[in-house]
Amino acid sequence: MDPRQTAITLEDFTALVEHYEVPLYEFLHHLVQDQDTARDLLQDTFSEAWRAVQRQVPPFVAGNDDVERRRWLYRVAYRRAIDVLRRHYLIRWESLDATDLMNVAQAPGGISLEDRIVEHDTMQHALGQLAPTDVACLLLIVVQGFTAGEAALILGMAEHAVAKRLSRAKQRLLVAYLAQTDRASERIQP
Amino acid sequence: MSKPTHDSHDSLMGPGCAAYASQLPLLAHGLLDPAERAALAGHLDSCVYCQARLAAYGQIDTILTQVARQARALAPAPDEIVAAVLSQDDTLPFTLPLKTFIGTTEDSMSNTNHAHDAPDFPESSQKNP
Repeated sequence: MDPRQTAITLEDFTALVEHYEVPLYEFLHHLVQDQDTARDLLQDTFSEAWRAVQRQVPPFVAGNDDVERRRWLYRVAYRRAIDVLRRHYLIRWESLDATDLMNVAQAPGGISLEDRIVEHDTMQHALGQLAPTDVACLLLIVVQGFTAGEAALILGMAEHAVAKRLSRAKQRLLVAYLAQTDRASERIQP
Repeated sequence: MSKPTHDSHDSLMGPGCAAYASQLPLLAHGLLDPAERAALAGHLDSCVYCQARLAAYGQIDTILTQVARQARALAPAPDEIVAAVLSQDDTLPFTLPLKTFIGTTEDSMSNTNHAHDAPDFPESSQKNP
């Protein structure tokens, strides 16, 4: 280890968790589409980060910036999620139970609960038509605000491949969303 | 919030539109090189179909972001995560400033051996047993 590198403290680690656990959970939740699995993966990711803190390896040494730590967390989370998806073929869509509905109802936004649930369902089903890596591309770039270069490092692929995947994913998502909207309209119409 | 719909411009899709189909979704993310961006901008100036398509991608981005944000309400509390991570760590059970999370996460700590076995150390004398 470089003697100039010093370990980050528990206080630093706690601040790291406080800063990243919500967006990281959001990413995992939509990637694996299961609340409990997303929570487990979130905990696993931070456990791995804590082990890295104890080993005093970059990016968990004083001097490394948050950008590297953020990227590290998403890379670990993504790999763990893909492992789970491969192992269990866990591509299913959770139904909104009563607790979820209450939580969703508390989410910010000026639209009604009913509209929010319909939209949530429609988007979830549309995302379900895509490959997990495509979903990850969308979430990382569109929702989490990573650049294509950062997403490439997280996903372990070339930047031009990320751009291709993002383009394809958005085209497919639009088609799937519109198809889902059509089905919803058919159910509503007498 | 407006939602993307099957646009009524499908019949207006021109022979040149297919060449830009893969570039349109990337325009908002700055992933086109200057030449591609300039060519697409020129095409967009005169193509109602691609204008509608571009707007639909923008709406899809907005909806995706809003739907994704809804999951935030389901995220566990940070203290819960920290407590769970530390409870798995057999190497440092008593040297950590437990008071930073005990109290808010008592329930999540209560099922660990460390929590059951931990003597009631004063904060200043927390030591490995």
